Amino acid sequence: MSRREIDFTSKRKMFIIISVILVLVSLISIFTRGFNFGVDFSGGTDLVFSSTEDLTVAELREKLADIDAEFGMAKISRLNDIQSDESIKSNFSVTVQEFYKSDDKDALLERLPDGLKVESFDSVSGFAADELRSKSIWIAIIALGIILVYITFRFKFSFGIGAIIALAHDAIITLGLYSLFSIPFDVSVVAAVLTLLGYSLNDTIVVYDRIRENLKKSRKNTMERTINDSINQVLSRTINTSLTTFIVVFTMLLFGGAGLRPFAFGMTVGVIVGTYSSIFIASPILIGLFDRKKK
Amino acid sequence: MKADRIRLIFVVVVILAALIAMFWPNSEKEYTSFLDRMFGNIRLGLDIKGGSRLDYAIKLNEGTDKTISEVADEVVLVVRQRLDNAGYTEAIVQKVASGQDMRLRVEIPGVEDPGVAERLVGKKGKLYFGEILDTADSDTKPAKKIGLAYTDAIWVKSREQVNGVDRWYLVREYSKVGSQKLYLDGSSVNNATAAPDTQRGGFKIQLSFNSEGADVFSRITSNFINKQVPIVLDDIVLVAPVVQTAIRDGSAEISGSFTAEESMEIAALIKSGNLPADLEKLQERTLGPTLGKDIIRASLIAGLFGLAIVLVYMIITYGLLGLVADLALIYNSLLLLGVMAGGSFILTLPGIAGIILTIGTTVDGNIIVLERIKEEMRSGKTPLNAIAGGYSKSFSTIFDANITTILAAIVLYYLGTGTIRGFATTLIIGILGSMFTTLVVSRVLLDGMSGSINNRWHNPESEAGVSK
Repeated sequence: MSRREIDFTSKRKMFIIISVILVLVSLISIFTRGFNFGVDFSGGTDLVFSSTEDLTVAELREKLADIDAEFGMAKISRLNDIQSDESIKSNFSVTVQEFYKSDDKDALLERLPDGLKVESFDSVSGFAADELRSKSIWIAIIALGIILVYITFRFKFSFGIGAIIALAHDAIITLGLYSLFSIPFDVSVVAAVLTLLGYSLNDTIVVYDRIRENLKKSRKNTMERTINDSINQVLSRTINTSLTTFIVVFTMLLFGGAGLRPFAFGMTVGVIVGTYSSIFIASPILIGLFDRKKK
Repeated sequence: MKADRIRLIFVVVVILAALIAMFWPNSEKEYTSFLDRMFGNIRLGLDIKGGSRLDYAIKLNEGTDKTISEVADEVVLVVRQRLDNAGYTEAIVQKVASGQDMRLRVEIPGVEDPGVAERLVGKKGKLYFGEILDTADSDTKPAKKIGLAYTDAIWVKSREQVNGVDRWYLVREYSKVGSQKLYLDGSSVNNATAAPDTQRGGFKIQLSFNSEGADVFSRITSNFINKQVPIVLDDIVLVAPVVQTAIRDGSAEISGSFTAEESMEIAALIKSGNLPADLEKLQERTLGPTLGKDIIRASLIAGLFGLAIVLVYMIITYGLLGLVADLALIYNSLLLLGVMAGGSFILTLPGIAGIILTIGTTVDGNIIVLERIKEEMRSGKTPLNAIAGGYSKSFSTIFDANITTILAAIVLYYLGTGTIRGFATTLIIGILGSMFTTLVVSRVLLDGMSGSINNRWHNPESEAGVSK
């Protein structure tokens, strides 16, 4: 094992510029294209189907997707104990994003294969929208505030600012990718984004901890040198941790199926962005913050 | 070494408790496979297991000038709050428009007992502190009293019977002090919590009023000393205590020897506010899972496959030390499953995200410690000394990294609703478990096998290459 030092800090301006561009592209996409919200958020049309065959959820999804691709991502669940006549073998509740107007409804009915029937046709609200929208800004501000206070208390104020910049960077870029690639955005995606933030924060603190230790050990080195040494010292830990986490979430993305894809996408992208930001953004940015304070 | 013995006892007791919680036989279920047996005690969410769907018609109160849609939005918020306060964070609450009608739809994970959740949804939750004008014991509702003194007064039944006969109170929604009407209702309550009643046994409900409510309560209690003040919830007098002294600090207690479940339900109802409309149940149905068996199977396999690769990777990179990290990882996974089974947590897809993060932090904690131990060994320390040194140096790293995440998760828990709250719970438990595993479990294992660790990292000739 060679222990050559890699120079992370001298090219920091370049990485910061790359990140600024990525953040800007993400913000533009979020504000112009918006998100492809799933039925959790946007609400949609709730249809109850009855079938004369004993279908599974997957079989029904396939049949419906043949009629309209929209059904491929529908939320489908089997409905039990409905009293109906003998010929009906299975019932399903299907929620799709597309709002079917009454004339669309007739068109849909005509194209249904034999044995499949629409029993009811309602519009449902997105249950997650109000819950999350009204409070999410406050949750973010308070959580970031507490993190800032804690890091200031245990490290320094500039470290806290660095950590928060890195968190915002990760959240914006990941959300931007959801927007750019129109990946369905449902409640599990919120959990994925929160998870990646926890992960990235963890990564950042590990590097900061080493910087804190090295600052105590030697006051002779420049800030730039100390930070570069610290990143190098924890590098094998960073690589091992990121790689192992990446393996878990990437297998989920590859083999988890369509239903898990929005979630696994966020986790996979998050590991990459989170690792990148703690090496190239969170720590190098401290150099700038420190310089300014000294002047 | 004495410290290690204490640690070892802890490690064994904790994992035994987790395993008991996981495998405690549940007589209501039949287990068909080992996997079933392993996850049988964990409650699964709507996405993984399905549950019950309840549809309600929303009946507008007479004389309201709000539209049905506005009222429905309020109803959704109140019901959401109630279910969250009672621990049903994974339930789904939404409004359904079918033609001109507006309905409320509540989906509750699990089909075993929608009873409690159903009681929480259906009740109005209207609470007030009124004035008693008369009392009667009768099996039927007493006749209405007529006269100027009885304006606005109605007969309300008491929660408890007296000598096997219903007790009725003639109650007014406000208390009259001089010519002034004092209203005090649930909207003045800041917080309501259930607590054990040490004096009477059973459970009581503690209320704290906001400053305005505290002021009104103080005036009521000072004017009604030695008289009963009824506490009415949904047209039932919960209790009508006799006022002993004026209460000025804005806190009140409802002590009626409630059961734990009753007191929690009542507290959740009071805290969440009134329902602005009546709800009438239309239909109840059982729902299958939304994710489908195929997806669950695929993700389970993907998860186990990923985990296996991680285990192998750790052994390849760290040798015997990696084996310790692997054992720690398995230990923490079992611990987390045990806690999920023992507590009444419901596992959903977002919950699984929390678990993955936990796996990540456990591996990470171990890697941090192992890297430190390697560094210590490079400088020529014996394995046992290197372990002690590695731990003392990595403690602050692991502590700070995990505490920041826990702080953020606590904010999510208190301000979040529904699924997000559930996610925060999994995260907090998982990270505490991961800290315990890294700092205690791995330490016991490492110390125990320190004799057989071969210091392959120490190379006296390249000492100069060690970090400066």
